[in-house]
Amino acid sequence: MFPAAVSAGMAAIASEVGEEAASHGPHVFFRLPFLGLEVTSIETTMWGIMLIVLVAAWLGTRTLGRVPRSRGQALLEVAVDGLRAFFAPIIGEENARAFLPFLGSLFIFILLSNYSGLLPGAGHLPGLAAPTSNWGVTAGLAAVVFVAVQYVGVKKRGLAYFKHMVNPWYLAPLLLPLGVVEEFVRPFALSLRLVANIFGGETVVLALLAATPWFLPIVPLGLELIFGFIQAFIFTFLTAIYLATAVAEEH
Amino acid sequence: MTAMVVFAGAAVLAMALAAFGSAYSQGRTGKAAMDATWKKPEVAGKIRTTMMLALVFMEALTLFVFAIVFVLAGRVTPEIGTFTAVAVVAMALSATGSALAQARTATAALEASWREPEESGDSRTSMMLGLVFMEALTLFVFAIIFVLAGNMDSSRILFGSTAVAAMALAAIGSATSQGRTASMAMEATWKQPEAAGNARTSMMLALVFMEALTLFVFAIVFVLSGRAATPEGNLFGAAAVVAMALAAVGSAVSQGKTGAAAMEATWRQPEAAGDVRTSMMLSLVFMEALTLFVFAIVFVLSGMMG
Repeated sequence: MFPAAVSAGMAAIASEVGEEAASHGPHVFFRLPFLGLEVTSIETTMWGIMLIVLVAAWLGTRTLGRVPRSRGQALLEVAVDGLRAFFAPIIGEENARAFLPFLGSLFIFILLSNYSGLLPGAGHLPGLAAPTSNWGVTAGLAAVVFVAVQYVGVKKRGLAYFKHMVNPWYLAPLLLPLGVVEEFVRPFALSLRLVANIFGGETVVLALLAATPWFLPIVPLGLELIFGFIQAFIFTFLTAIYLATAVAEEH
Repeated sequence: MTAMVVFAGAAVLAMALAAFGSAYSQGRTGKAAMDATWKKPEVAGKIRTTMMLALVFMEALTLFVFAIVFVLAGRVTPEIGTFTAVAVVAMALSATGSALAQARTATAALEASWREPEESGDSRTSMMLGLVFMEALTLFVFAIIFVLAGNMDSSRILFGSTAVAAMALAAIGSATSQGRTASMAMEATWKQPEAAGNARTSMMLALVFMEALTLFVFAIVFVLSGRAATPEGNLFGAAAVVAMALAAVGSAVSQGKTGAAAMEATWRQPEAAGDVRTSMMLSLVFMEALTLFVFAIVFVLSGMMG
């Protein structure tokens, strides 16, 4: 009967999903000679994304002119100007200009990483999986943000940067440990937020695709389009705020 | 065949619960549409379209419960009878939660459509966005039941049953706070039509945060289900998902409160919409981080369980 056939097929697919849950990990392609480092699907996808961004940037800036001479330049100018106009009211015009290369790179890389998990077959094909669904990748991004925040803070304000941890001075014994812990909790939460969202979204799509390949997965896929964008946005937004706080003068 | 009896009993109760939830929500929506129609007969057509769209979403929720009953019915064995029974009830509970939140949103959207008929397109778009988010919560529960049913056996029964219940709890929490935020966004649409676009953007951002909470519970259940075959993993997994669900509900409640207040601030002071959104996001980030800490500790401990 129909239900029996459906449930038998479902059991087969679902146990496959269950096994993937048990051994969810990147697919190892080869090891780098000498160092013995593993190159996995995570790396290859990131290389692919970097290649796309590099080629797009190269094509767009090949014939630079004061007035855009190519469609590529016009498009890139819209993107760069849009990002700057977005950050300016939040962290100030000067900061927005100074940090734009860093923030823009983060945003574009995370956005493309999140969307790479939405391509048909992502997660099933070896060599294609959203890099941001791996905690190692997002932790790396957050570590870069952590270092950047300390760097711009010390560079702009010298040792005065660390004053925010001992202000007011009579509460310093209490505030210093809290301040230090908070500095480390920030990148921790930043990386976890991104990976838990993308990993969770990916598994929901995977499970619903296994349950019914028709219609039903449209809802989470559509939501993933929104989620991927907003998570990239939130990561960059928080980075911008951390950077702006680091360079702000005390008042 | 007692397992089948237990499942069948749970299934009919679940169907009844889901149907009741959908029906009640549709009733509220229908009433709001009728009210709107007599108050502004000129836009009766637009009101009807909005109402129909909302009713379809609520109808689908009961259909999802029907689908999961249908799917599980072929899988009931004495071993996993408990799991299937708990799963259908959990599904019905989350469907009811989604339906009630959708009703709250749709009612507010219908009120907006008669109070500010020119903006009824705006409020309808916002409503649809909100309803999709609440619908997806029930789909998450559907998906997790499906995943768990695939490798369910007597050694994971405690974990599996607790996990679906925890998912339902998290989904209800998320749905409730989403309903609160979305209905306030609808109110903002008619109280300050210029702020409609800003309110929608802020609403979407807030809804994503609340949706993410249930997604975190989903992700942790997914991770733990691979390690739940041992007695220790089974017991630890059950405790861990309950902990996650409780944390998610707490975060959701506070996010709902913040989201709703942000919507109110947006219509009361449309010029400050950007500032309101930035502050709202910063505070939502903190509330979300609390659930993420539970997530992290469960993740780390489950690796140490061996």
